[in-house]
Amino acid sequence: MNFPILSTLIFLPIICAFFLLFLRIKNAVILYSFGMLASIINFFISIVLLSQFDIRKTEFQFTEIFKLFSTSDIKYYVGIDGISLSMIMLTTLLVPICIAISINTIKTRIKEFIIAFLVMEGLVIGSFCSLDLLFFYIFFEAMLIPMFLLIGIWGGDNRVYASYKFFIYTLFGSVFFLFAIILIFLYTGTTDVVLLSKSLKSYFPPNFQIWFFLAFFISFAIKIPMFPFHTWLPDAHVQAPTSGSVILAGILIKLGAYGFLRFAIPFFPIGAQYFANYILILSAIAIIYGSLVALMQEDMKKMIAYSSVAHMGFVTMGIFSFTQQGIDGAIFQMISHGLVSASLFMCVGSIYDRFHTKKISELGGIALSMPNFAIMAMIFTLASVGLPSTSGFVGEFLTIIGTFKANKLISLVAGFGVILGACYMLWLYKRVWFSEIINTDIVKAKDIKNFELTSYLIMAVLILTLGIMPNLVIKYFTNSSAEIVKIFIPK
Amino acid sequence: MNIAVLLPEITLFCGGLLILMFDIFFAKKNSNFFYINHLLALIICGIAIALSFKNFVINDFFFSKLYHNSPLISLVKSFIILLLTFVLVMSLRFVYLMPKFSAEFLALALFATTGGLIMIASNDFLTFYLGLELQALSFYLLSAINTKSPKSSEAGLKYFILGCLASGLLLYGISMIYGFMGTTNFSTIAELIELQKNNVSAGFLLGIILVLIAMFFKLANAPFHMWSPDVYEGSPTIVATIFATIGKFSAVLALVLIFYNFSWAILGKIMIIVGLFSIIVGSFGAIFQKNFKRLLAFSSISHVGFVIIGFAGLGKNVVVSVIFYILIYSLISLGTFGFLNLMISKNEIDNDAEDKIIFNINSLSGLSKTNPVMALCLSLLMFSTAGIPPLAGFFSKFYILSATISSGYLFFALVAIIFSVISAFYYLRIVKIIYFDKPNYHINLDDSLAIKSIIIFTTFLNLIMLLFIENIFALLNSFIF
Repeated sequence: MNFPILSTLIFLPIICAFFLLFLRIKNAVILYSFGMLASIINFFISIVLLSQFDIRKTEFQFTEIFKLFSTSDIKYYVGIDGISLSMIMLTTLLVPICIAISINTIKTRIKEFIIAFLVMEGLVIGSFCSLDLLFFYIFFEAMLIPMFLLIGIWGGDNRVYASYKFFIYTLFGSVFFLFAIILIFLYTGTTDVVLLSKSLKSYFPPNFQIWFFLAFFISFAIKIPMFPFHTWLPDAHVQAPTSGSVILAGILIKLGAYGFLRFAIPFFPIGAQYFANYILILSAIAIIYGSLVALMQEDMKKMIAYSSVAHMGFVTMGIFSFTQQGIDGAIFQMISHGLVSASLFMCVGSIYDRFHTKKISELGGIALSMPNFAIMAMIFTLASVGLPSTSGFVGEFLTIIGTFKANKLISLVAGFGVILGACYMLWLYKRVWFSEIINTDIVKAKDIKNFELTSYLIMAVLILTLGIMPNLVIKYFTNSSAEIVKIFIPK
Repeated sequence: MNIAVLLPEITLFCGGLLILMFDIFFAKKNSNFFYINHLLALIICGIAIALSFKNFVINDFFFSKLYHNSPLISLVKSFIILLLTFVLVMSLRFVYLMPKFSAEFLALALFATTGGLIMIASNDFLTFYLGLELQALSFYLLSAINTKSPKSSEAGLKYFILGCLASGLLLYGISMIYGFMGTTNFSTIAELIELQKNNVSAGFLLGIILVLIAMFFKLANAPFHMWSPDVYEGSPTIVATIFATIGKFSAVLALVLIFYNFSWAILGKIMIIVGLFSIIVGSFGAIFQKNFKRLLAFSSISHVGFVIIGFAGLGKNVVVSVIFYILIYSLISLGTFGFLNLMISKNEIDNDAEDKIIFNINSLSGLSKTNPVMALCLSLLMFSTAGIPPLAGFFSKFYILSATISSGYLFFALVAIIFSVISAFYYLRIVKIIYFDKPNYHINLDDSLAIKSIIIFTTFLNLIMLLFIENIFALLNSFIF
């Protein structure tokens, strides 16, 4: 398999964005078609990738190496395993949908919008397949630029504050990551992730591992975001445009969890075990706290943002249980939450387009005039709650099982968190879609159709399929998670 | 053979004199003479670069060991003259609007560069002082060259007085070094230090510290940075460009080449503390600045802080990372100060009252609508200065930090990185004003194609530097033995 398919996935959107930079097109139709075309081509390439992927292998596939520096060991090294593959599929699925849903909402500076999205897609895929620490850092950081511009140019009223907070908070975490990378490079002479995963744990003494894990932890914990570092997320989500929120909740926050799985845990297992209990406690707090705060929100988008905090609590809980089901559940929850919260944000976007408000008190009774929309929203609400037969259930169930082996109290608390999740989501649905109609706009509202309906249908079908047949996805990454679990089994 | 080595300096110096002569004899006859002067200056620079490249292979000491030429020095000299060429290309509008002192401006720029070249190539403290003073005196005059502006005169006076103080300290330091070592020659002093096995006398250390203080002043390191924002703000914009690019580059390289001979271990702690202090002052100082020129002055204080931190370590990779950092910084400064040159008032040069409005960063709002190309270039340059990958600024910081960490100064490196996050705030603010704010005051950017192409060129270099780092490092490594 000599064709550099991963580099194509990474650089095709970036090159398309670069071309778009020089064309002087103002016509929205042409621009949106160009963006959709570029991202859909990327999607089909990733389907090809999926079909060629060998489930049974545990080492990285489709690897490409390009030596940039002949003297040092830093090189452009990309490759995927099951976890990366799932994330790449999620990315290439979500970006066309994001561009599609912004057709009616983004009407100014469309060219820059498409460029920012395409560049971001390339950079995100780059970070998911990168197997060299420095290049992962480069992609990880470079992604901040388009997101900063997305929130700040096309966002809501308080967008400047939100975009600053997002950028500087994440940058602050990443400098510790950079510091640790430099130290690893100076100690071992390499930044090759494959080599380091195999040998670093025996190379560093335990107390070193603890500090290094902490340095990696800060960066990824801010990205996920875990409990004490979550304050940037509600602002960023509320102020971002709909497609910005979708991509932020769907993909960008998964990078933090991916970082844990790919880098922090394989490199520093002793450090990970040292902090495992604390991180489980933080995850449990995230679940309960996130749900409780979500319960009291008046702004729909903020509520869904806090529910993201809660759902990512499940992810970190599953990862740090260090069991097969826990890690499988965590990765599945990453995918499921990507789909579910993306869909929920799309719903909020549809409501905002029609009624120009996100406040729950100004809405009510939408189901009466938009029945199709209500059906779709119900599916997504129930998926967020974690109803069996939706993908949300599988993720939560697996993570709780996995955590039960590690720490029974935490899994009990997480189970309670599931109930809280049902509380706020169902209450939200009741207040917005079911209650009596207060807002006169709602009576005249047009139901969703065409583009919107297609996007919702795609997401709903995926969520329900994954809920009923989760093995369709789990089979791809279960070997990789077994590898991670093997690190912790004493030989 | 001996003279060939000095040809770039001689060309520049005589070129400056030639321009002055032409101005005296021919300016009255032709009111457009400054164009010819300008062109002449550019031609002189071109010749000087060519001559400098010719000296590439020479690696020896000259004039009874007063002057040193090596491939690295030739390369660096060529780069400085190249920077000068770019700056002179950008100065056309300045020369056009101020024909009265245009010849003096061109001549002084050439003299200043000559001083810088001598400073770099010196192998003796007296030659070093010669070059330093030549550059410094030219700079003092350049900063005051806009006689219609009281701010410019104030800047010149401030720079002059404080600079003379620093030169006085420098001479005192050199005299102490001479007193305790018996010679002012770098190579002899290096041998003596080795003989004494790094147990140097306190007098010598005091001398070195005084010399360093003078260099810190020239570079605008904290706590000797006070003059820098005022002088950058008051001087004409093109002069501020010269300060930021050629001034800093030649001073840093001179510092590298002086202390390359001596052992830095003696001075490591001083460098780290001064560097860290500069980074802190630069990061905090710029947060409240509304004037773009002052903001860039504070940011250059912070960048020079990074360079000085780089000096604290030992070894070959330290030297290379320092040179790489100042190289990238000069390129970025060329772009950002070049953009400053585009922010003009319509009639006069740097009219003080209008300056407040023009150079106010809030006047950049709406730039993304009126001039999207320049907006993109400026944003990329800002991200590069902040140190965001994949732009060049990140790699320069990365290598300095690697060098610092490998020398053992972990905590200081961590503090330095954290402060660079703080400085990211005001770079982001520029991007925010360009893209996010509603346009409330349109400034008109100059139409100058030359300046715009230089800015686009530096932005492009920033983007693709990732591919060339290896080549640059290999080149530098082969020169430093």
